[in-house]
This record gives sequence, structure tokens and C-alpha cells, in this order.
Amino acid sequence: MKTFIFPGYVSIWVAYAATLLAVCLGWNRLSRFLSVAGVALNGCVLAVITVVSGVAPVFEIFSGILFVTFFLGLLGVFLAAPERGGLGVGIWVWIEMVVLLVVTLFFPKEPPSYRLHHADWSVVMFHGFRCLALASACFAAAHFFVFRSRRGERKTLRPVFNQGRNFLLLSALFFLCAEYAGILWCQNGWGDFWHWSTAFFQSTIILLLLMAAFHPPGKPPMSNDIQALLGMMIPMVMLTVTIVKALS
Amino acid sequence: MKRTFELLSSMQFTTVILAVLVFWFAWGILLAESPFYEGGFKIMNSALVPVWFSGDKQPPLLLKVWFVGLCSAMLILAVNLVFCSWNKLIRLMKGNVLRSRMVILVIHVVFGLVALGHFGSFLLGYRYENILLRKGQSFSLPQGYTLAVREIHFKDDMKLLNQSPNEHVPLAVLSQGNFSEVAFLRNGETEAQGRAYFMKPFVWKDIQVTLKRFTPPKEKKGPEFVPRTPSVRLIVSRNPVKGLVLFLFPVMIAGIALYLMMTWRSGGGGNNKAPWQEPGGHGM
Repeated sequence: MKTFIFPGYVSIWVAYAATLLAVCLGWNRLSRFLSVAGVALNGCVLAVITVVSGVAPVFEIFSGILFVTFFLGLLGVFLAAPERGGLGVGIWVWIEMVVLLVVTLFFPKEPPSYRLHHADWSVVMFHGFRCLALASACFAAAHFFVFRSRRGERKTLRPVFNQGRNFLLLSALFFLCAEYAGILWCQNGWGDFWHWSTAFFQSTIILLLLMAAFHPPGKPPMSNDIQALLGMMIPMVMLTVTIVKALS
Repeated sequence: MKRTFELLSSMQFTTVILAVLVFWFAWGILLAESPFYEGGFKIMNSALVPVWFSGDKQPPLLLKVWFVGLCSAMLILAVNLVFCSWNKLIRLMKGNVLRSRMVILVIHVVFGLVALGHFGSFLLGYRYENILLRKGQSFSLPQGYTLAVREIHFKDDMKLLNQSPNEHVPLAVLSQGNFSEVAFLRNGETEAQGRAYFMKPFVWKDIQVTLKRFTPPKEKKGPEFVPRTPSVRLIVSRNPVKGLVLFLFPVMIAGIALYLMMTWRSGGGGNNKAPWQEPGGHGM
């Protein structure tokens, strides 16, 4: 069963890259078919990783990013309608998917080894909610990319901006759930819910950026621009933290 | 006076403080990653704030300055939060009642209490890390209590203990057969007794005994080698505000979830009017 992981991963690559190409060319039916196939394959690979490793596919960067692309792909399939002409939300979602997959190229494509703590539910929740937060933040960023890139259509793009804000708030919600699971993990494993360490400081920076995104100064359009800019920046910071953690 | 009030409750002020805090924590990451200050952070983790400034082992001066700066920035954020919440309360009392705005107010107040709880946990109670005890040994705690290790159960192969924590076979360490029986004594009498497992601490009143790891027994190898039980490394902590933070944090999450559901269609404005469209508006 383990042998299925790498071919499955390559198939996911092909399906998502082809989806992006089809979306760019405006072949909506084909892009729909490819995206659904890609998400289904993604789900299958995650299931295999879970069966082979015996743990949830959220710990190592490879399986974690595949979990993010699965959730982001679902959002892309069901909530990002293809647009005729221009850079729509759909295109940005599939660009993000490919960028996420590019990150996995630099890491081992293996199921996570069974490690300390991986059986504890608070640890699983911590990593799982972090993945969901990243996927939601990426989806929000896709909306903000559209909002920022089409400056002349601000009024008609109001619903797009609002949807971006909704998913950014959902990302904050998932991130806070991860933090709460992390608090319980730390309390049970180290006897306190706060630790003076790099990991805690990184989490706090992400929380502060999320707070800043929901407290933009000034009035529209400036405040909207700031919120969109921060909304685009946050998934990049989250991804950077994930990569740094995987490299250390 | 009015200008000062407006400044202290403004979004611009919030943004500036949040930006300062982001840079402050980024500096903290640089310090934590530096080999020179690594030991200082270990000291900070092993004891509460009063010990950092008066104990035998103190963190380096720069880390103390960093901590004081962090507390100052958080204090200014708290001032901003109080003024903003006061503003919102006045508006609500004037009859401009929107349910979503009330939820925002509650979220902000609960956030303030959670942050205060975190700060309280740095000061209140006590924390002793890396207490190495063998079977039958004890450790003195404040208020006349003594922590005693009654029994150490380690069912798995002792060779596992010589591996680094990352190499441990987790099932062996997490096994229900591996635990330490501990007891709280006062004036020689047992007040409470229980088991501390890995990731499943023993809690009595608000004192927590956390099993950090087992350590291999030191003994000479030879023909008459008799394996003894390992020692345990324990963390004993008492945090009087732990319950409050663990209760309020999910309340805050639930508040945000409720607010998100209430404002999904309007995009955060309620009545088609976004909070940023109001003068001095504060919200998500």
C-alpha cells in the first residue's frame, strides 16, 4: 500500500497543474472535472498515508500540506466559481495549490514515522487545526488577490472582499482552536500552558497579524486595502513557519 | 482630554501596538535561537517571574529587558482595549444595540481576561522543573507539603531509556504500564496519592505533577548486575489561574464562531454597515 503514495502524489500534481491550465484557458467543464479528480486523488493519498502510518496525516510537512491542499481543493471546487476573463478567485486558488505542492518537492515523500505524542488527541488537534487554518487563509487570500488586482471594480468586488474576510475569520477561528489544543498539550506534557520558546513566539506573531487584519486603521478604501494586504500576507507567514519548523 | 481619549481608543493606535508586538516577538525568536541566550530561556521556563529577578539563577539582563518591554507593550494594548470597549459600551447604552456588536464587546472583554490570565500565570503559584527523584525520595513544596515518589513502574525495555527523547518508541513510553505513583504529604501524613503518566499528569487541588521522562538507573555493569527501577524527572506546578484561562479561551473561540455566523452575509457590518464605516469603529 505504501507504494501507492508516490504515484498518487504525482497524479495529484498532474491533476492540479492541469486544472490550473484549464482554468487559465477558460475551459470550465474540463477544469471542473480535473479539479474534482485531483481532490478525490488527494483524499485517497491521505487515506493511504493514514492507514500506512497509523496516525492522522497532519504531522510531517508532506502529509500536512497534502491535507491543506485537500481542504483548499474542496473549497475551490465548491465555492470558487470559474469566471470568464480576468484573474478570478478560482485561478488564484489553483495557483496557491501548485505553490503548496512546490513546497512538498523539497521534503521526503513518505508517511510520517510514528513519533512521541502522535497518539494524543490534543497533539492531533493542534496540527490538524493548523492545517485547516492555513487552507482557510489561502482561500481568503485568493479573494483578496482578486480584490487588490482589479482596482477599477471595487464596488462590484465588495462580495468578493466580504467572502475573503469571512474565510480569514474562519482561519483565525481554526488557528485559535489549534492554540487551545496546544495549550492543553503543553499543560499535560510540560505542566504549564505557556513556554518561552521559538514555537510559541511564532504562533503569537501569527495571532497578532490576524488581530491586525481585523483592526485595520482608517476608513475605506484604505482600511480595506490594509485588511486585504494583511490577508494576503498571513498564509505566507503561516507557510513560512511550517517550512522553518520542518527544516529545523 | 477628548483628543487623548480618541487617540487611545483609535484603530491607528491598535495597529501601532500590534506592529510593535510583532517586532518584539520576532526579536524574541532571534534571542531564543541564539546559543548565547538559549540557557536564559531555559531558566525563564523553569521558574516564575519573581524568581527571574531575585533567585540564584537569573536569566541574562537582555532577556529581562525584553520581558519588561513585552509587558509594557501588552499594558498599552490593554489600555487601548479598555478605551475601545468603553466606547462600544457607551454606544450600546445609547440604544445603538446590534447583537453582533454586543458579541464583539464580549469577545474583546474575554480576550482581555485571557491575556490577564496568561500574565497572572507568570506571577502566581510556583513551578519546579526537572525534579529528579528515585523511588522513596521526596521533594519539599511550599505551604508545608512534600511530594514523595512511592513507586516507579516501567514495564518496557530499560534500553529505551538510553535513547534520546525523539528516538523513543512512543508506545513504550505512552504505555499504561509506565507511570509513577506519587503522594502529597503534610506533617508526615498522606493528603493525596495518585499516578502520573506521560501526558496524563496527576492533579490534586491546583497542584499538578507532570511526568516529563524516565531516566535510566546509574549502576555498575558486571556479572552480578541486577536491573533497578529507573528514576523519574518530574515537573511540579501550581497555577491558580489555569482553570480560568482554560475556561475562557473556548468561550472566546465560541464568541468568534457566533460572530462569524451572525455576520457571514453582511461581511462584518450588520445592517449592511461595516464597522470600519463608523468613526472610531472597532471590530472584525
